[in-house]
Amino acid sequence: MACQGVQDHCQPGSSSPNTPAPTTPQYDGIFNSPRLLGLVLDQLPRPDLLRCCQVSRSWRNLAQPRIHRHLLFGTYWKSRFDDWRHYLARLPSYPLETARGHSRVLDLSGLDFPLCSSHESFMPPSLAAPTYKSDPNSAWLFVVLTQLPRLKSLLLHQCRLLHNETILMFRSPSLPAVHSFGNITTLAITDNDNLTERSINLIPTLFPNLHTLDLTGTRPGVTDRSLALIADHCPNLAHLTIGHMGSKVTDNGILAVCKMTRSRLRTLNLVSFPKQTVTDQTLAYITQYCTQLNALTIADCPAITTRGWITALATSPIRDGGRWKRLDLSGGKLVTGDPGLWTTLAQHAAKLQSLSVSFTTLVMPAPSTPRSTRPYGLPPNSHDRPSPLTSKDYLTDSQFPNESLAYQVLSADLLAFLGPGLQVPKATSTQSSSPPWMLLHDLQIDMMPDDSEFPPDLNPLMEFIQLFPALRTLRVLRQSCPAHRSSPALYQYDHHRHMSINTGDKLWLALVDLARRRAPHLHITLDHSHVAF
Amino acid sequence: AMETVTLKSGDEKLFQVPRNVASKSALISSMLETAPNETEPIPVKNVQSPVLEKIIEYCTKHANDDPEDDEDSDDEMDGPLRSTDIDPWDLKFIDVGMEMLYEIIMAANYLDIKPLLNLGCKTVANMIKGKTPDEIRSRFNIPNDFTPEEEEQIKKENEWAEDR
Repeated sequence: MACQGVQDHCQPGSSSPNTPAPTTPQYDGIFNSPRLLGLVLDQLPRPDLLRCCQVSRSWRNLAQPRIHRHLLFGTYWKSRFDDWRHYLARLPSYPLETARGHSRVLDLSGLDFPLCSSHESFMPPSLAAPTYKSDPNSAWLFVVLTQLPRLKSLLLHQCRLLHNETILMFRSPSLPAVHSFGNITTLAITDNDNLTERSINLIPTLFPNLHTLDLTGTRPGVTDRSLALIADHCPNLAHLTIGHMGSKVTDNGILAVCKMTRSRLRTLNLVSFPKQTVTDQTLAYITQYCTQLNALTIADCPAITTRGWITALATSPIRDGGRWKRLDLSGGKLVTGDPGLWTTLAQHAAKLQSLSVSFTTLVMPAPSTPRSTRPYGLPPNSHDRPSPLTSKDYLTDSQFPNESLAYQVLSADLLAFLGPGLQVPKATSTQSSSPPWMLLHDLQIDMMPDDSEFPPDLNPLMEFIQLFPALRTLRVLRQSCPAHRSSPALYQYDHHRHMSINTGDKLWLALVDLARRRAPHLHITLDHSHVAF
Repeated sequence: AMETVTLKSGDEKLFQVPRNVASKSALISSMLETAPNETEPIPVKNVQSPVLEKIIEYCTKHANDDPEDDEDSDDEMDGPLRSTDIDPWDLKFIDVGMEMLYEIIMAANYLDIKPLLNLGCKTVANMIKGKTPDEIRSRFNIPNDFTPEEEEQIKKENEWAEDR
């Protein structure tokens, strides 16, 4: 190497080129310390880890096991079915100590049988369990769980490889007796219509130490009864996400969860109960039993009302100015312009860090209505959820022709959103011991704009931003599909056309977020200079 | 008045800081617990004053963070699945020369300040991201101690995980 012996730690632009680079050996410390180099490598995704393996022997020793740490075969990771097949075939040959034993996360989200070979077996004959010769493809989960003894997270979002037999085979008498996989603490089985209640009921037996569970869209298997069973038999359960269960899950199921988990539950996400089986009663149960809950999502539950929220927030125990850290109030018969809600939030959720509200059920003013008398909220006689406002809106083709139009739309929507509620946080802040909104750094607003023409006006936006001194990310979503918002592995299915605007010079953070979400149709035309708040 | 403690850097400079700021360091925090009435300056021998100054700046900014948030980030879902969302203030804070970055990481490790250690390691990781093995070696001055056969072998072993 040309520069051998010369310490070259200069980062371009960060230190003067005229100053010779320091040669104190201590600076190499982080690369000579396996612990520190390990911590650095922990931050790297698989492709980088593979390259790190080729750097030197000591790097290899540290990077190699980390390749096995996250087994990411899901479609989000651009993995191909053959990668998974190849891995599975070689799995038993990987040494436990240097490879298999390091596996912590297995992500097979989105994995489906390849179209051409749906009837082929992807299981190597040597691994297909004897009793399942007729359906060897069921054996994969058994193989994985027995070969990866220290796996902690199993992520099976939209994974069609998982079906009833895959789970039920654990009860097969001809297999070696496997009682449970106590190391698994995170499990996601979402959007899976293969599973019956019988296999869902095996979850607490197989994974008794679950800490995080996501069952969104897994029906018909998830019912009130199976939820009660899971809550009762998983004593560590702290984060639960359910939704899209038709009418199989009701207030009763949630009551059972709340009663069983009580102070253990920290996060509860209820996503989409359009059949009105989850009502304000659920909010009451949550308030009554889940004393340590600090993150709550109620998205697309039309039977949840603003009144229900106000009551729930106001009656929840207050600890240091409120325990709520993350609230998602999108969906439901929510009147986001209701000052009562904003007052309650300001008073009882002063420590809120992340807030998401939805516009979809807010009745928008008719274009001719003067702004000052615009009606907020639902008409008093309207019982049903109003059909979402459809519009030929400027954004359905998800391209902002130019920045000014984007701003025009945004500020118009914000203007409508703020309405009478705008002044509320300010007014309260002078009375409250702990000023509200001080910690809020993530705000997301879903909206469905109407066809009204508003003059481009940045002032409400500016004013709005100033209410939240800690705001880092303001996300404005359109045509929201709350379905998958809480399933991080599902970003690839997320077709949000959304625009992010960040405060300060942090636009790139929003872009990173967008990239993560892989919003495929998004065309970003906003540029840095236009978002200097 | 706010309770303060005095820290003494390796080069014998004294820093008076609020107790809750100093307690961001798990090391100092446990020292304070065992000797709560200690009035002597706490020696931080391994850390020189310019670095200690940076560390104190970080701890002051994050003094009131919820310790739960620090714990949450310590999950197995970390690594490549971790959010890329770095606090803007942190970004600016850690935008220092390589030498200082190394010093901060070492000090955060020694003083046991988890979120700062995490931030430093993330920053180094970002410098590694996307680079070839050759580029990594020359950037961080690491000698290649592989034989060509070994290199070939490693490539083969990791075939299944190769990014396409």
